[in-house]
Amino acid sequence: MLNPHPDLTPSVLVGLGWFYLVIFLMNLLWTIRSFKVDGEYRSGMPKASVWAVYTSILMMLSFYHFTYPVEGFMFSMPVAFKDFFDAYFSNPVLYFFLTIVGLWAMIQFREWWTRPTVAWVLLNCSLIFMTLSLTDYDFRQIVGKPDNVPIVAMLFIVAFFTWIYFSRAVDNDRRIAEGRPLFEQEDNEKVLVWPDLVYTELICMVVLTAVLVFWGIALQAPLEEPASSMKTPNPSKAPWYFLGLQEMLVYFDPWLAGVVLPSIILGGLIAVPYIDFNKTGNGYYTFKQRSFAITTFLFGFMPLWVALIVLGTFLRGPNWNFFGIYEYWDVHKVEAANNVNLSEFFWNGLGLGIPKGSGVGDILLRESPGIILTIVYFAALPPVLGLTVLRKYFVRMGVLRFLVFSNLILWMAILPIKMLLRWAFALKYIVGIPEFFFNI
Amino acid sequence: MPATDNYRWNQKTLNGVFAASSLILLLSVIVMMRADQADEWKGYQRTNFKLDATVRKADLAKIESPEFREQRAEMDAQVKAAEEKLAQIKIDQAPIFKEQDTLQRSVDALEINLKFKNSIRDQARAQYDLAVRDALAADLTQARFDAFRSKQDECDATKVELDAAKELLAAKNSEVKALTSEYDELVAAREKLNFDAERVRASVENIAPTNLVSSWKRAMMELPIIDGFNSHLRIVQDWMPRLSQTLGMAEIARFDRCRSCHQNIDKTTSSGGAAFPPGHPSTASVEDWVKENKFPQPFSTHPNTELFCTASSPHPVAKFGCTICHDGQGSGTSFGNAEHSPNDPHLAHEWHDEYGYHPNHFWEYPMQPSRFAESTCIKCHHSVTELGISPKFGASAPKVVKGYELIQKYGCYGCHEMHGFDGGVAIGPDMRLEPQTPEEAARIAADPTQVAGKMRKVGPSLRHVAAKTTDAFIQYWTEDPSRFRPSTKMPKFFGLADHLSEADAAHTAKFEAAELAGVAAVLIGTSQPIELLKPEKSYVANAERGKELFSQRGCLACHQHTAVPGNTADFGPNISDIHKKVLRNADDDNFSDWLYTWIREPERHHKRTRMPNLYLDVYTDLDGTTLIDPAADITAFLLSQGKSEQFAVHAVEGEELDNLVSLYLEKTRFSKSAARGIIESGSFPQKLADVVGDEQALASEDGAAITDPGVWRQKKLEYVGRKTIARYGCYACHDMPGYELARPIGVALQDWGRKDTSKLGFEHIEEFLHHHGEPAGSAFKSTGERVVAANRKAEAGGAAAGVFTEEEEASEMSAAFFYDSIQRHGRPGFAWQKLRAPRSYDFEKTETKGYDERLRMPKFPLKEDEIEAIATFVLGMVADPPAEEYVYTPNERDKNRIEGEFLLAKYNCTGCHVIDLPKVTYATDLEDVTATALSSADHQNALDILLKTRPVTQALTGEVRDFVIDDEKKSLHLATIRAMVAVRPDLEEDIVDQEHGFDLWETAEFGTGESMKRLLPGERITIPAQQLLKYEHARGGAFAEWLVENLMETRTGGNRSLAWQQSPPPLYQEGGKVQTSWLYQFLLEPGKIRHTTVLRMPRFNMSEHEARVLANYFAAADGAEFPYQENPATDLDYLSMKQAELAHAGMLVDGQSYLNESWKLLNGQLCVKCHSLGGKKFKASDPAKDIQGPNLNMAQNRLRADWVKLWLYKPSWITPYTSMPVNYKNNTNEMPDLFKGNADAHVNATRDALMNYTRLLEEIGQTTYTPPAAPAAEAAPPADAAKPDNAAGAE
Repeated sequence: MLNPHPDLTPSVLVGLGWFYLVIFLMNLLWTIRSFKVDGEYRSGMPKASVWAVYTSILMMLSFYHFTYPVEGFMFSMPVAFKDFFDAYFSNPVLYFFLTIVGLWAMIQFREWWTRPTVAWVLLNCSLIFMTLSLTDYDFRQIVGKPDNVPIVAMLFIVAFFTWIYFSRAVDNDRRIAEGRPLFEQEDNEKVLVWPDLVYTELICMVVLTAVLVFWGIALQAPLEEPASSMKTPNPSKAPWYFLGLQEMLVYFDPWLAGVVLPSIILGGLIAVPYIDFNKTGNGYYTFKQRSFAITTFLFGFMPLWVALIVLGTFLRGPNWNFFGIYEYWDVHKVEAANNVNLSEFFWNGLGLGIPKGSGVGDILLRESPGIILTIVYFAALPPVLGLTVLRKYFVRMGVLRFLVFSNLILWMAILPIKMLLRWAFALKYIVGIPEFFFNI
Repeated sequence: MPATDNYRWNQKTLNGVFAASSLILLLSVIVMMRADQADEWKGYQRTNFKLDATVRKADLAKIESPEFREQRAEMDAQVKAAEEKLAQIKIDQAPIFKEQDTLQRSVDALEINLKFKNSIRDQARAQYDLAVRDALAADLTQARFDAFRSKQDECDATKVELDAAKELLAAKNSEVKALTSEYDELVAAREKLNFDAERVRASVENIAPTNLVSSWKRAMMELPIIDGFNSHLRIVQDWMPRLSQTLGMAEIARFDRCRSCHQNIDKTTSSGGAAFPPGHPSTASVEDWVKENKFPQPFSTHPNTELFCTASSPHPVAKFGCTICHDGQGSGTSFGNAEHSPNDPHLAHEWHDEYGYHPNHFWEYPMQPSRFAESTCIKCHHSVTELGISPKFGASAPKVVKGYELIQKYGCYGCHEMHGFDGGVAIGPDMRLEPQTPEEAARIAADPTQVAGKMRKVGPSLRHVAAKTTDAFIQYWTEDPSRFRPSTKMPKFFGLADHLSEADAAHTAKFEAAELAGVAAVLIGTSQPIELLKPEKSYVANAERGKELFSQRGCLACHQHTAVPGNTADFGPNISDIHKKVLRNADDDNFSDWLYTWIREPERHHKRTRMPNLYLDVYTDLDGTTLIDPAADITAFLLSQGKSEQFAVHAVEGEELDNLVSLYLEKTRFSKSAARGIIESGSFPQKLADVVGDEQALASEDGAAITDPGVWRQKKLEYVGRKTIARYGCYACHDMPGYELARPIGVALQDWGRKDTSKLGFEHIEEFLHHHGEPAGSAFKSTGERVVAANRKAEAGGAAAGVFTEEEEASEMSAAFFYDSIQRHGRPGFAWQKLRAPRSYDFEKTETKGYDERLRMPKFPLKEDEIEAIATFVLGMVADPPAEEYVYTPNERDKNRIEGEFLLAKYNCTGCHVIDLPKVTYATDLEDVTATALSSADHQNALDILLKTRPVTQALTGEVRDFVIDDEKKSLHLATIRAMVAVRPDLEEDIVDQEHGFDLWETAEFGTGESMKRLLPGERITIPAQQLLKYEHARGGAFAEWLVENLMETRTGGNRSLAWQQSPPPLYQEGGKVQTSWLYQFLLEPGKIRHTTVLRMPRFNMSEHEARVLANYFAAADGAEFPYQENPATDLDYLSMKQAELAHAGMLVDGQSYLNESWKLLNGQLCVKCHSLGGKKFKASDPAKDIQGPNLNMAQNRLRADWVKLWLYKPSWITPYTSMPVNYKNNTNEMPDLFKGNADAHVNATRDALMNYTRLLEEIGQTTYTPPAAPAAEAAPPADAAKPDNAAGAE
C-alpha cells in the first residue's frame, strides 16, 4: 500500500488474464477460419499454423496472468517504451501531424489494409498494445475511468465502420475498373420488412437493453465531487462528444469556437446535398468516384472531430496541459503559454511600435493587418481558388454554390491553420480586440 | 444470400436467437435485482436481527429459570384442576349458566334494536331541523316535530326495556362469577407470572418467528419490490435540517443513514451502560458475541455512551446524527460510500480485502480516522478548554486539547493567525495576538464587527535587550537555541540543512552567519534604554541567603534550576545557565542590575510579561536589624553559579554580506549594477528621510556616502538584519521596537482543515522521504524505509503477535499513516512533515529559487506524538460552525469556569496552588472503617453546615478485589478519597509493614443506607502500602508540595502541618470560602493575608476582565453564589431577630445589645492571642513558636458568612493542617457572662461580630474584655502535634 499508484496489482493481473482469454478465443476462431480459407505456404505448411502458434501463446499469457504473483511479473509495457512514448508523442503538434499522416495513409494504402488478414493483424496489434499499456497505472486511470470506456469502444467502432466502408469501396472500385457489376447489384439485399427487418430490429433492441443493464451493474456511475463554483475540477472537461469543440477553445475566442463554428458545422452539413453536384456513388460504396467528397468528409471527421475527442479525453490533463498516455497527471506541471497577437508581431516587426489609444480608429488601425488578412481570406480567396485550383468545381457549381462551398471549405480550414500558427508562432489572435470582445 | 425464397433469415434460427436474447434480458433483470438485494446494510440488518433474537433468547432463559418453571408447572396444574372443577360446576349449576346465556342474548338484541331506533330518531330530528332552517310551512314543521317526538318515545321505551334486562343480567353475572371466581383468579395469577416471559417471547417471535405462517410472511417481506412496503429491512435515517452541510455550492440538510448498519449505536442497558460493548470477539457467531459480551462493528454500541448518541447524553444521535462529528458521507449506505477512513495503511489493506476499501478523493470530507476523531470537536467547542477538563465528563478530548496547549505553548499564532471570528460571528477557536498598540486596541474596541485577540507573544521582550545581554550571545542563541538551553521553546531557524546539498549547505551557512550578525546588530542597535533598579549602595548581597530565598519565594513554581534540584516546573525557562548570558554591571562583575530589576519588577522590562511581581521588597530580618534585599540576594545567587561566558560567533565574510545586501537591493528596486554601486560606494541614493522600509538602514541623514568601512559594514549588517527579521517574523514571539504593527508572516490557519489540497506545496517531499527524513542515529536510512518496516511488522501481526511493543506500534503506524497521507497529498501528511522538518519541502527546490524565497518555517522541538496532537487540532479548524443551537454555549457558571481554567493555565496558578486534591484509591475492609464520631466538644450545627455547604462523596467505587493479607485471602472493597499525604511510609521497613497516612479533606461516605459509615474531613486514614492502589497527584501545587518538603527539612523540623501553613494554600473549595468581589480586588492587587507563609501571592500582569473571570471561576467551580453575595450577618432584620431570639432565650438580659456583647466576645482573650484585632496588635510571646493568624479586619470583606461559622466551629474540617483551635467547645461553659456561656451562641456571635467589624469598631471602638475569672484559653498546638501517631521520623 505504500505506493498509491501501483502499476500492477493482483486484480489488474486477473483482469488482464480475462482480456487475454478473450483475445485467445477470438484468435482460436480466426485460426479455424484461416485453416479453411487461407491455404498453405509453398512448403506445404498450412498458413493457419502461424495463427495457431500465436493463439497458443495468447493462451499461455492468459494462464500466466491468472497464476503469477505481482512481484516479479515480467510481461508489462517496457519502461523505456513508455518513457520514449511520453517524451516524443505527448505534444499536440506531432499528434495532429500523425493524424493527418494517418488519414493520408488510410486512403493511400486502402487496398492493403482492407484485406481481412491485414485488418485482423492490425486489430490484434491494437489489442495487444492496449493490454500491455493497461499494465501502466496512469494509462489505466484514463482508459479505465467509467466515463472513458465508451470512448475506447468508440475508437474500435469507428475503426470497424471505416474498415467496412473502405473494403466495400475498394471492392466496388475494383469491380468498376474491371467492368464487373457492383457488389450491391450482385448481392441484391432487398429483404422483407417483416420478418427480416422488424424481427432483427426487435432482437437488437432486446440485446442492447441487456447489454446496457449489465454495463450499468458492472461499471458504476462515475460520480465525482459535488459541483462548486468555488472549486472546479481540474481538468474540467466537456462531455466526450463536445471535446472537439472544447479543444477549439484553446485556439479560438469562445464566441467563435462555441457559437460560430458549431453553427457553421451544422449549416454546412445541411448545405451538403445542395452543393454536391456529383451524381455518382448513390446507393453503393465507392471511393474513386467520390474521392474529393469523401476525403473532405474524412478530414473533417477523423482529424478534426474524432481525433480531437481522443486528444481531449486521453491527452489533456490538469490545467489543460498535454500529457503522455503513461504520464502522471501532475497538477504542478507548467507549460509556458505566452501567446502574442498578430498586431504585435506586425507593428513590432516593422519597428513602429503598437499604435496606442482606445478610440475606434486607433483600435482598427492597430488590428488592421489581421482585419485585412481576414477579409482577404474570406473575400479574395474564393475567386482565386475558383479560377485556379478549384476551377473545375467553379465551372460545375456556378457562382453562388461555389461561394458557399468555398467559404465552408475555408471555415473548415481555419482550425488547422490557426493550430499551425499557434504552434509555429505562438500566435494568439489574428484580430484581437478585447475592447469589443471581438477576437479571431 | 436469401435462406429461403421468401426470407433472408432462417425463421427458426431467428426464433432461436430471439429466445436466447430474451433469456439474456431476463437474466440481466435478475442480476440487477440481485445486485440491489445484495446491499451491505441488508446483510448487517439480518445479522443484527439474529443478534437481537439471541440476546432476547438469553434474556428469556434468564427469566425462565428452573425455579420459575417449577412455579409455572405448579400453577398450570392448579389451573387445570380449577378448570375441571369449573366444568363440573357448569354441569351441576347448568340452569344458572343457561339463564345467564338467555339474558345476555336478550340484552344484545335490545341493544341492537335501540341502536336502530336511535338512528331513525336522529334522522327525524334532522328533518325537523331542516324544516326550521328552510322556514317551511308551520303545519309541515309541526308534522316533522311530531314525527320526531314519536320516534323519541319509541327510543325511550326501548331504553327502559334494555336497562331492565341489563339489571337482570348483572344480577345473574354476579351469581355466575361467584361460581367461577376461583378459576378466574388462578388464570389471572398465571398471566401475571408469565407476563415478563411472554413479553420477551413475543418480541423474539416478532423478529425470529417459529410460526410457519409468520416466518413465511417475514421472508416474503424481504423479497424484491415487496420489500418497498414497510419491510423490516429498511434504511434508518437521521434528518438534521438545521445541521446543514455544504456540498459544493449547495447548503443542504444533513441526512445520516449510518444507523442502517450501526443499529445498536445508542442502545443502553437499563442501568445506562452500553448494551453491546465494542470489542473483538473470537468467533463470527452471534451466540459467542453474546457470551463474551463483545461485539464487533457495526453491531456495537458507541464506546462513550455517557457523552454520545444516547438520549440522555449531551449529543443524542437523533439531534446530532453522526457525520457532524465523524465526517464522512452520511447518505452512503455501504462501507465504501460512507467514506470510512482507516487509521493506518495496514488497516487500509485489511479493509481493502474485507470491504473493497479504496480512498475516494472526490468526497472532500471523508470520515476522520480514529486518530483524528477529536478534531471535529472544535467545530462547536470554540473555547476548547472544556474538552480538557469538565467536572462531569473529565477530559473528553485530550488529544485536541493537547494540540491546543502546544500551540499556546509554542505561540504558533504569532505567525499563523487563527481567527475565530468572521465579522464578529464565532467560527472556531480564536487564537490571535492581542493588539500590540493602544491605538490598535482602541480601533478594535470601537468596531462592533471585530473582536480583539487575547494571546500574548510567547517570547521575552527584546525591547531593552541591550541591557540584558550581549551581541555575541544573541547570535549564539539565535543560531541554535537548544544548544544553550535544551528545554527551550524557541525553534531553530538556522543550520537546517538536512535537505540541502553539501555545497548549498556550506553556502547557506555563510549567508546565515551574516544574517545572525545582522539580527544581533538590529536588536542591539534599536534596543531602547531602560532605567534599571539598583540595590542600596551599601548593601552586600548574600548568595547563600539568595539560594534559600530563591527556593522559598516562589521562583521555582515556574522555573527550574540545577542548583535547587527536585523540581519539574516548566512554565518559565530553565534558568540554570542564566549567569552565562546576563550582562553584568560594568563596575561589578558579580552583579547584574538588569537581572535585579527583572526579578524585582519584571514589568519594568516587559509590560506584558507573564512573570509576576513577587513583592521582593526590602525587609528586616527577625531581629529587626539586618536589612535584607531578597531580589539582590537572588541575583547574587544566580550569578554565583559561574562566570559569564564568551560566546563564539561565526565570522561574517564581507563578500557574502555584500551578496546578501545586493540580493535584497535587487528585490527592492535596484538593478544589479545599481546595487553593486551602492555597496561599493557606501552611498545610498536617497536621504534617510525620503526612504521608506528596511533600506533606511543603508541611508545616511544627509545622503552623503559613508566612507568609514566599519560604519558601512555595520549599516549593511543592519540592513540584512532587518530583512532577516522581516523574513523570519521574529516579532511574532518577541516584542521588538519598530515592529509593533508588523503582520503575521505565516498562512492563516482558521480554515486549514478544509484547505484545498492542490494548494499545498508538496514539491519533492516524496523523493526526500524516500531517501532521507530520519534524524541521525535512527535505525532507518529514510522515512520511507521506516514505514516499509512498520508495515511489514503490522503485516506480521503487530503488537498482538509480539512483533511490536504497544508504544512502537502506535508511533510507527502513526508514521506510516502520515507517510501514506503524503503519498496521497493529504493535509495530515503535509502538516506532519511540515512540523517534523519544515524546510524539507525545499528539497531540490533551493537550486531554482532565490535565497530569500526559501521556506522560512523554523523547526520546533516537537515529538511525533505532539505533532500528531497539533495536527489533530489544526485539521479541526474548518471555519464551518453549525447552526447556532449546536455551537457549545455554556451557561454563566460554566462560562466562567471554562474561561477561568484558561486563565489558571495562562498564569500558571496551578504552579503554586493545589486546585484539586490528590485522589487516593485503596482497598479496605469495610469492617475496619470506623465512622467519625462527633465528640462531646463538637456541635451538631457544625455538622449540618458541613454537610450542607461542602460536597459529600461516596468513597466506595463498587469494585471488590481479592488480596492476600497476612497469608489470608480477603475480599476488599476499593475506595477513592480526596486526601493529602500526612505520613510517608518508611521505605526501610518491610513492604508488609509500610504504611501511608493521609488526611481526609472531604466528607466521605462508605456505603449507603443503614450500613453507611461517614468519615469527616481531618480524619487520618492509615493505609498499608500493599493496599494503596493508586495515588493520583493533586491538580496543581507541585511547587507547594515541593516547598512543604523543603520547609520540613529547613524550618519546621519535620512538622508537615506547619510547613503547609508556610506554603501556598490549597484552593480546595475556595469558591465557598471567599467573597467574589474581594477575590477580584485581591487578584489585581494582592495584599498580605497570612503572616505564616514564607512567600506572598505575587501580582500578575492581569487585566480587570481576567481578574473578574478568575474570581468568578472559583465560585462557579464550587457551585457557590457569584458574582455577588449577600452577607446575611450584616442584615439589620437578621440582627434584630437575633437580638429578640437571644433575649427570649435569656441569653441577653437587661437590654444588652447583641452586637455589643458579640464585640466583647471577639475582643476577649481568645482571638487576640493569634490575631491582630480591634486596634490591638498581635504580640508574640515567643516569636519562634507563636503563630500569627491573618488580621481579622479583612474577614468581613473577604470571607463568606457560612464558611466563617463552620471555620469557628471546627477549623480542621476545612483545613486539616491548620493551627486554629476549636475555641468554643460544645461541652464547655466559658465566659458565662456572655450569652450565658453558650458555645453555640458564641460561635454565632463571633461570626456576626467579624462580619460587622468595621461598624462595631466605629460605633464601639477599641474594647478590652476580660471575662470574670475566665481561664485563659490555650491556643491548641498545631494539628500535627495533636496527633501523636504522626511520627515525625516517618518523613
